[in-house]
Amino acid sequence: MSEIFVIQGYAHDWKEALKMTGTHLYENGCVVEKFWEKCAEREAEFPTGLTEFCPVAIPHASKEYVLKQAICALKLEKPVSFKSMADWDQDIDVRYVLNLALLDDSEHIKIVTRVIRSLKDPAFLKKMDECDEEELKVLLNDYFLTEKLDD
Amino acid sequence: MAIKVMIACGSGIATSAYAAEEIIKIAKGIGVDIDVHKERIQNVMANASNFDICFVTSNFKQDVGTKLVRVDGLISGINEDAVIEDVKAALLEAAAKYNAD
Repeated sequence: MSEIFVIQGYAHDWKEALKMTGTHLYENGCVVEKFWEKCAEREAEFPTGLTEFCPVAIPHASKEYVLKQAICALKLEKPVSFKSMADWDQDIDVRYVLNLALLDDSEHIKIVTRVIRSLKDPAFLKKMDECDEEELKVLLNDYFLTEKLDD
Repeated sequence: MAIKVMIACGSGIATSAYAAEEIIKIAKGIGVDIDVHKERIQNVMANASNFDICFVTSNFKQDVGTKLVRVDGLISGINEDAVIEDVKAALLEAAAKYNAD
């Protein structure tokens, strides 16, 4: 069973943002301690910033650093610059980090599909913006962990 | 015979999983049978020759000797329709090659 965590805070840069989400996942027993460093290594090589219309990054690492499937969402008090997945020369001012702790099973494909489908819908981002921390957790649970977006 | 496609992303687990679902759907829609293998970008070079098409979810541009199609638009939604057309064209081209052989 997967779990969603939501935190809010200020990060100086993308690395600090990943440390915040990765540490939260570690403290909740979902990943190993060096998970965030592995996410950072991967992010440096293959960035995960989405688009200027969807200022979200989806950092992740391989399954060997994951103990329990989970997503830690970080709502940033001030945008943090991530590189764009599509164009590595472009910076995206990211407002939400969705740190994905994924196991390679059938459920992870469903979760990734729901996350990406949600993020492609501008109305979803608007909903995220209207949420406080507690409401965001409810929203993400509803969209990412239930079957409402499945085919 | 099924076309062999590789779908690669940075970790072989997140965006490639999504892209694979979408590409399977596109292939079904045009009646092309595909065998999907998910891979890390780092391994594209070494394994490309075993596949008919390599789909990548980032701006990987090296010549791998196999048809390479960028599909990051499926994830970002940018120019998604054009990307879907690219995917269809690549699949149909590979299918035509099989039929000719």
